Amino acid sequence: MNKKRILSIVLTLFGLGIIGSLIVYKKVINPAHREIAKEVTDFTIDVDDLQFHFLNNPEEATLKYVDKVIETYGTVTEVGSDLVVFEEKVQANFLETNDQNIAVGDNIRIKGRCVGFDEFLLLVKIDQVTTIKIN
Amino acid sequence: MKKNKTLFLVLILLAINVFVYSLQAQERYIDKSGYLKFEASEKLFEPVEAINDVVTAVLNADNGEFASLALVTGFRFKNSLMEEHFNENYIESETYPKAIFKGKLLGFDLSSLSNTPKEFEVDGKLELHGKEKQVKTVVSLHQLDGAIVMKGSFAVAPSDFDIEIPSIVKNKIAKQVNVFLNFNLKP
Repeated sequence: MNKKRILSIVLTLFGLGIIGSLIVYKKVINPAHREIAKEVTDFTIDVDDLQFHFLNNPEEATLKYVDKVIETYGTVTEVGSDLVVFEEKVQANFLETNDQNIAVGDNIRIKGRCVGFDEFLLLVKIDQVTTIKIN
Repeated sequence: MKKNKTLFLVLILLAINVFVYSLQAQERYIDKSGYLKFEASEKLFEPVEAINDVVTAVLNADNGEFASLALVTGFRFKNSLMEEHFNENYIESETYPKAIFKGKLLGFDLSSLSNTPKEFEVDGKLELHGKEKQVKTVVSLHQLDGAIVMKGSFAVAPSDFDIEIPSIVKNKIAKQVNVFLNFNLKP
């Protein structure tokens, strides 16, 4: 009787320990990646203004926009296998390969994470992009 | 007066000519979403590696000048906590948002490229975390559907760029960081 009780307590503690360490691992040591599409948008801004902020004051714009969730919209001027470029101002790289029917000249709205400003091509880069609307 | 006017016209035409010529002469090959991966794993520990696939690379096909820009926030790790530490503690991406390489492919000649990879020496400078370091390596180039594919790798050390690795994780991160690149440069 006594032995049985001790055994069940030990087993319960052991089980709790495993569950606890799994929770610690999931939450603290290896938390899930962000899901940008499900996050609340930090800034909604057109591609023109977004590029202008980075051209005008790169340091300030970097602190304000980088790693934030951005919704932006404009006319598509280039379509690649995994990206679209808006008016030579903003480059959006899709989370998955671009299999949507986006063509040059379309007006679209996208959501993604701002990566920063590419001073070589004067492009604001956004990754993990999902399309919200094609007009 | 008339002579002056003619001279002015000639100068303008000359300027336009030079401008147009320089535009034609500069044949640039660009990749907007180039691939960079770095690895600093130690045996027995969790792999330390990250991939950035929004890297910009530009090759001037006339003289072999090459430049590349990687926004450091674009490096993505398997482990999100590692990614956070990388950005906040090691690379300090808010203060130093980009890594830039500028250099030259020695002996580059566009007409020497074919479908089979050809190796070129690269000599240039890598700027990262507010520090600059000379990088010499070899890359291979080949043509594919009108584009130039560039592949290669090089090694750097965090200490070269004043990146301090805290002693608590020191044995989990390699002293030498291997960087792999793969660009698809289009005219």
